[in-house]
Amino acid sequence: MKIRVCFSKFGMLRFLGHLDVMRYFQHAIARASLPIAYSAGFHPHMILSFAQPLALSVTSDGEYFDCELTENVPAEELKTRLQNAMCDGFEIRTVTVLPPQEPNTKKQTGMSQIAGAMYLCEETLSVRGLLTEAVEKLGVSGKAVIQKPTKNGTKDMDVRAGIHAVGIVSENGTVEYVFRDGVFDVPESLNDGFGRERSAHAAHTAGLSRFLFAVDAGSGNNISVELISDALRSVCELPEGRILSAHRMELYGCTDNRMVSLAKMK
Amino acid sequence: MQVRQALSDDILLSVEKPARYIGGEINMTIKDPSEVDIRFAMCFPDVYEVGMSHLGIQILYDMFNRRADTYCERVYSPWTDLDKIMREKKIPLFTLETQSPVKCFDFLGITLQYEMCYTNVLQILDLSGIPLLAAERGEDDPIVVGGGPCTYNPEPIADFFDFFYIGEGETAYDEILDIYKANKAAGGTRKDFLRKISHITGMYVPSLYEVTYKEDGTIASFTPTAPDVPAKIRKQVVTDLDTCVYPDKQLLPFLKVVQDRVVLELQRGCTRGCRFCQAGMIYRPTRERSVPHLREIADTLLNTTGQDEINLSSLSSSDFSGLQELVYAMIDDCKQRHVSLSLPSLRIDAFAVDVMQKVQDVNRSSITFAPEAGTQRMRNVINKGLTDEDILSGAGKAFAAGWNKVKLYFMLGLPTETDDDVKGIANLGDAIAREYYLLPKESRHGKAAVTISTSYFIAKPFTPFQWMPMISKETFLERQRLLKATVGEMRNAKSLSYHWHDAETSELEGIFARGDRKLSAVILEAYRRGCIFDAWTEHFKYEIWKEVCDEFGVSVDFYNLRERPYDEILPWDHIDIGVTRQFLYREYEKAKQEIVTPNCMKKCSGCGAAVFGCGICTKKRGKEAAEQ
Repeated sequence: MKIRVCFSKFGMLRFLGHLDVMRYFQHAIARASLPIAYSAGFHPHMILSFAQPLALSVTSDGEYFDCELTENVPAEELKTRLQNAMCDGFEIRTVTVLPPQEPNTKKQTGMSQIAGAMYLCEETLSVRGLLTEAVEKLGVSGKAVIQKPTKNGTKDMDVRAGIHAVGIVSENGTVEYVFRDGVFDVPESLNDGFGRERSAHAAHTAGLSRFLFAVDAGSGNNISVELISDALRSVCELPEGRILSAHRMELYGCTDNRMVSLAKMK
Repeated sequence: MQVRQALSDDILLSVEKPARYIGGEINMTIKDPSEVDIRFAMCFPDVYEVGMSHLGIQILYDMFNRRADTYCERVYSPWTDLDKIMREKKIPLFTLETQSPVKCFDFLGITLQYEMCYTNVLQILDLSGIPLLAAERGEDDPIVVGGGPCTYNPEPIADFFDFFYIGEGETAYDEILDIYKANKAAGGTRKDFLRKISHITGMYVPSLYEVTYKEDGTIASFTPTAPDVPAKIRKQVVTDLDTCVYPDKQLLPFLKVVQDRVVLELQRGCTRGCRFCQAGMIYRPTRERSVPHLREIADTLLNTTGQDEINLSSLSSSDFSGLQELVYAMIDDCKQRHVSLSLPSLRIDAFAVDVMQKVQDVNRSSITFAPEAGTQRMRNVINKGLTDEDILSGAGKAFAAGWNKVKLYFMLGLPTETDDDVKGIANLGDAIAREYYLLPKESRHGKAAVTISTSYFIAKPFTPFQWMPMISKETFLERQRLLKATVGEMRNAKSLSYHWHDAETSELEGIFARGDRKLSAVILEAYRRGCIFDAWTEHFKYEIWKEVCDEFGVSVDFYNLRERPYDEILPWDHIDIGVTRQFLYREYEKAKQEIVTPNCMKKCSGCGAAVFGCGICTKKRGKEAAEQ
């Protein structure tokens, strides 16, 4: 059977790179003795496929991998066994069983389904108090032209169409949207449940402003936190250096022009 | 528990591989530092990926943390990028577990695995804010202790350490920590503590000894400064490996490290007695772990780490008496778990070929021999009990089983080496290639690939060659050129390739290996002028070392190129490894006469290690065993 695992990555492990996260889960699956399927050949490897890599320093409650098991095991049991193999900084959120692949259809992995992501961002100390205006401008602006590095220098690129919601989070957790186009179901408050408890692992430093962005993601048009920062710079003059620390709240697939949590994608 | 973060996000994002500095690995010990009496910072003075690959640290880390009153944390050398930032921003060096400054620890233990880490030791002390010279440390500084193979001649770094623990770490630390606690409780000073532990076997406190030199630079006397301080320091030895501590949980790094596998230590010591090999002497007597114990450890380690490779480690696996039993029992279990088994230092015979066929990919892997020398004469000198016949038949078996890649390791500059011995290396490589082409064409897979590598022989303390001269860098390069040319002239030259080792690093390694206390000042000055990570070719600054050596009057001639007379006091003579100076000298004489000494398993040669009353020394061998 095929399963999809959703996990959080937080704390100091936000400095762990994507390849190391993959290695970590290979070892964790072995410690949990999951009946994982291996590829054929002289050097068999676990059949595992990871969703969108997370940039260094970004925490997340919406990380995913799909894997193939050779026996049926109840999802709850899988979740407990995997969770018991975790160290501080990783937490298993959900394990869902994926429907068997229909014959003659294209193989759908978590990776290829990804269409959107939601980020909770916090301004860094170096731009304390400067970002709200930029976020407001970005929300109302029709375009955000950034310089994208290419082989021969840089190229202008408008990333605004890839940004579907821009919100400002108040001290009590409610979110006021400067812009939202309805493609994402966005939370009115970080405390309202929103299906499950979110952002538990996002850092929150008192006195620093927080923002919410819902953007395109995946191989088509990936709006990373870095691109969001560049978009903010394109509408407002901001100091050099890192301006946002970020937490990925969720990854989404897209059906009928609506973003659906990857855990709930069919 | 919310941990302190020693480096800011911006710093972590600006350095290569920030995961080197965050800790949090699987099986890391978490304790509350405020609830322990002793904080021990354990350091491997090289970059994380190298340090995390070392089994000794894993063993000691686990052992210390079994004590409820002690919290052992780890620290490694910050890579050059972070080193620069820490100096600029004055960030003190910290441990991975709690990210606390090393300076606030009770102990800083540094393992000394190779001579080229000496400037990194100074980097660790410097970044921690601990005075580099032991004599300048105060009551608030950690006690700096050194361990590992380089402590068998710790003189070049004697000035930087409060004490050295000579021998195997599993045995005496409990006593040392108890004394530390008692001394602290009684209001004793650092000096009081060091004096007390100098009475424990294996503990060498350099400040309690005085050295005088003759006019020619050799040692005139080496004496304790007080009557209660022992004149000789005998190494610590574990007498039973089955009952001594072994971690059931090895730390599992997130990063891919140099030794990315679980390590199972089969035995300690080696019975072969190769005359150039320090490990073969200092780890005597050879002691084995039992097969059931090893299987139990292997199972636990694989369960607690989830690693996909296990390495059966030993100086000479083929000599481990339970090897076949262990390996055949493990092969199936490993296959089931999708764990690969690696067996380095295996003598290539029928059994080895059978095992390798089961655990390795014939197409990708190569077989390795370490003949060390190219002619039988030379191998008799070094007492390497391996004949051309052994090598050729081993290679032949491996070729027949499908391999076509062979790696050969040799040394250049061995005592008494002649041009014929150098050429013999090429001849041996050629003969191995010929062995491959003797196979019928249909059972060959393309060309044979025989790789010959040579390193520069370094004379080490506690070997029969400790009195021998090394060859000069210039001679070494000449012999390299000779070998390269000879390889090119071989009939199967197209199947041979030749790699060599950098000469400059080896020259310095030679100086440190047999060096004396005068070198502490040289190492300190080279460090001040920017030498660090000397073991890394890209960071090794030969010019600076040369400059400093010249200024301090340290000559290659004195340390590397002269024959030492028997009556000269060697800088490490106060250390006692059980193996006697008389035995080593007998071996030195036999080497010159090209006479071999049998393996300990065949016959006891009376080296002196029997004084420890354990391991191979207590077993009946040869005729005696046959009579039983």
